[in-house]
Amino acid sequence: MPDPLVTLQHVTKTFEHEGRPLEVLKGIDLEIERGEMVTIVGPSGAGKSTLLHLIGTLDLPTSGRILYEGKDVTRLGSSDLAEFRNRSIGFVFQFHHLLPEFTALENVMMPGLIQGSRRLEARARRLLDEVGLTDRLTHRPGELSGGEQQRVALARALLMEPKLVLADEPTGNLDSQTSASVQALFFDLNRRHGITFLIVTHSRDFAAMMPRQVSMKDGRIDSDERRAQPLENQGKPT
Amino acid sequence: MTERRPLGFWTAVLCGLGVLQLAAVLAFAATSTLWFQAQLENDLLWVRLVIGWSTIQLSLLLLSVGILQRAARMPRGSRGRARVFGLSAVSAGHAVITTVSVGILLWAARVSTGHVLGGTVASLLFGLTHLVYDELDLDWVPTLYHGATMLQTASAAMLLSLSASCWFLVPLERRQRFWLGFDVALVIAFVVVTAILPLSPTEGDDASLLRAVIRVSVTTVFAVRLALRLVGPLLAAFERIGFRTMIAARHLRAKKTGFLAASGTLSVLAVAVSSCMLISVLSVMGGFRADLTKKILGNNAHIVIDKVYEELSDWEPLLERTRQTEGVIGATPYLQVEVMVSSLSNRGGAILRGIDPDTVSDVTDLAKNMTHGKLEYLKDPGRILDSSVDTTKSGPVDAMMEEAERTAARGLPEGPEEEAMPGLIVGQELARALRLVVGDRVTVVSPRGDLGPSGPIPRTRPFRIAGIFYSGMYEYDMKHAYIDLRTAQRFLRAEGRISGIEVKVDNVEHAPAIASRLVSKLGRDDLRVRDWKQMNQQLFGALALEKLAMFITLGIAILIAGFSVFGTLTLLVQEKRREVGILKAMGTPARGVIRIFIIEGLLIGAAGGLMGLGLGFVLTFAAEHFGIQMNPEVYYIDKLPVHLDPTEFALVGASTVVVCLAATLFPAYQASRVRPVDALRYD
Ligand SMILES: Nc1ncnc2c1ncn2[C@@H]1O[C@H](COP(=O)(O)OP(=O)(O)O)[C@@H](O)[C@H]1O
Ligand SMILES: [Mg+2]
Repeated sequence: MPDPLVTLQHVTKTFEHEGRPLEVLKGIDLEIERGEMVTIVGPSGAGKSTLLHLIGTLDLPTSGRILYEGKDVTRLGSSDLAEFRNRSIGFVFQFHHLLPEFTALENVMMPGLIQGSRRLEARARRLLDEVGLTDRLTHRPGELSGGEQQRVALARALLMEPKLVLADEPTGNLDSQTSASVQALFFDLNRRHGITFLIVTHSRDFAAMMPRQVSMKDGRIDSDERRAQPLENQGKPT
Repeated sequence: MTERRPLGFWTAVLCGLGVLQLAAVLAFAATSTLWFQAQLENDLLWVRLVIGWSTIQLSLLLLSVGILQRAARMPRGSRGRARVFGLSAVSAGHAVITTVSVGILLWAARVSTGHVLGGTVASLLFGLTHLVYDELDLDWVPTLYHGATMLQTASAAMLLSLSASCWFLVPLERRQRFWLGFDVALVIAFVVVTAILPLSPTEGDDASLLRAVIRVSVTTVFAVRLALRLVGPLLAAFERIGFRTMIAARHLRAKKTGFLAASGTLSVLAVAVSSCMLISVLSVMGGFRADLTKKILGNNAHIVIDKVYEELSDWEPLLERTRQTEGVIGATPYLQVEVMVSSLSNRGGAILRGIDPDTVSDVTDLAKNMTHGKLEYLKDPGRILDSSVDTTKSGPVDAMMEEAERTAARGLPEGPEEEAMPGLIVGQELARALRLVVGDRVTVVSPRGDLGPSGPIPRTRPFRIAGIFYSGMYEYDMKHAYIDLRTAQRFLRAEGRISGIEVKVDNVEHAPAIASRLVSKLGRDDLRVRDWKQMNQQLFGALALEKLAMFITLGIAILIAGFSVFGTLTLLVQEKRREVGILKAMGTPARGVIRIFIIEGLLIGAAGGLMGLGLGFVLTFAAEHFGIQMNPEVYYIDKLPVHLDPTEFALVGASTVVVCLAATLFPAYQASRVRPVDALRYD
């Protein structure tokens, strides 16, 4: 059996706060398979964002290992890590984090530009088309609505055909109508492109639609449930 | 809201008028000295001036009051209200003050004919020409005038800065239309002046100087506008180079928060001013060096062949062989000794040189430098007195005194050898010190005397002034005197001997090589062969040292400008933290981030450097072509010498870039250390 896409082994994270150590993650073990849709739920302060950052290699664990397809990424050098992030991981944040000086199209192309590749423009246009923003290509983030910005961020996350897309409360700032359409987009992309999603959410409805639900509490995994029959169709906008 | 547009429009008009008025004051201050002297008696011009000036001031005043009223009706807290208030109040005050000061000036010029007008740099910039009130008894007039001038300077400065800030209240579209019109007019003006006006003025013609100044000014404004127009397209082109340049250019183009924008503008200006200063000073110093080199090369041989302690005998074959050496275009023998020259009124030490009048012109500019008399008189002293009619070229008073002295001198009983008295050429300063004109008698005392019963007796001999030269080097004009070589040999008891041979070469830069060629060709190791660089080593060494010191001192100014680039970049990094976090999260490596900010710093530095070098070029170009007068009595140079050296421009540009690069390193490193997790934290 091939290695799972991501494997976390006894991952802990301790922050230093005013001289005192603060253990935020207290030993996480987790495996995520290719093509899975996983949601992480839990009360605020449980360590969900921290975990996502560690998986996304934005930060290093205090102890433990994080393996991608069997390879330990916690030992990579910083430029190798940057390269790895660029090619293998897509991020969608709660506050979308687009670059304000660039148009929607340029923002989507950005991961490709970092690689020095300009040939991804056609793909960026297609992705923006796919998220329903065909006629917003030259808008800057300031000229887009919250939902539109979030969809641009999603298109950007998908540009490099990453193995894994990490989303931290992607619908946290959107009204229910808009969140529903963004959520539907996640499922659609997962089904059609087989992209693995790891999504932190506070939305019960959204979490309920996901096939696998990891719930965290106080820096530990509280439960890890897989549902045979996800309630996906309920969330679809009419 | 309906108030806003007309207000914007009239504010623009006010800005324009204010600037126009300042320009008028500037032009007035710049020309008044010349102009008043010429036109004081012209009544028609007088009336026109008063009417024209009052019209400008009155319209400015009316407009200001009108706008002040409108501004007062604006709702409290609306955008630009304070600025408009300030601008209209200041310009109203400015109109009143200017009217007072110009009124006083005109009136004073009218009632007193004996006054003197003179400008200072500060008064050129903002105020008016200062009044030196020789014949005005009224104490309060100058006091009032100076008070008004000071107030005016302050209000002009305020007016300028307020105009600049009010300008941005005018709707963007209008501003763009204005600049479009301005640029079109400018292009036309540029084409016209390029076609019809000269770049260099003809010597001593004020009108052609004015035309050249106009051409250079229009060309400069044109270049500035062109550069500004090109900034956008250039940055756009720069963006297309690659990812890092794209981010950098976007950061610089993006609208910034006020403080960062101010800091960025200031650092560009700081770099510009310091590099402009450096290049201007270096150009002037280079000018002095070039001037000095020219004078040294004109008055001296390029190579001198002599013996260290002795004189050369049997030198004719040496001279012949020197002349046949490749690269040598002239050679002449000389005999040199220090003497004392006395006239009736004074005496002074001099270096007496016996020269060969036939060949000396092959080597030095002596013949060209003669202001009175002729070099040939050395060979034929009998002609001196025949032609001494044309010698009184100096001012009337001098000439009268000299005439009187000369008559006195002639009155003296002259010896029987009158006809045979040999000629002597002296420098202008020595001639002035000894009060000599061509035809005068002097006595030269040589240290090489006869041996008398109680030791050596100095040898004296009368000479007649055959000519006066002006070399432009005080040293020479004060210390050098020339006589015929044979006369010198007889007088100095050096029959058949010379001190050395002076050589001129075809290319002064090859002088060292030709000197060593001469050494091997002459094949005599008792001879010393020195080129001009060796002989003036100390002088050029001192100049080079001085220049280096200046470069370092002003380089420190660039360094300080570098600090401001550092500050701007630190601010920029602070402002772009979140974006750096995003870029890093998306996989930009740390060195990529470093490069982005280095590029930004370099762009700031390049903008400043180019501005500074451009401005420096315009300044030095103007100084070189239009000439800045200097007092020859003080500096022994009549025009500020300027020498534009492309290598120096490159050097200053390179140092600017290096300093800016160094200034970017730390902020860029800081940026690369931003952790995406910290930058992306939501709160
Ligand atoms: N850099 C940090 N320094 C100190 N404490 C931190 C830091 N980052 C996160 N924490 C703490 O870790 C805990 C978990 O945070 P987070 O992972 O953002 O929780 P969640 O996303 O589940 O709401 C919080 O209590 C927070 O205060
Ligand atoms: Mg969180």
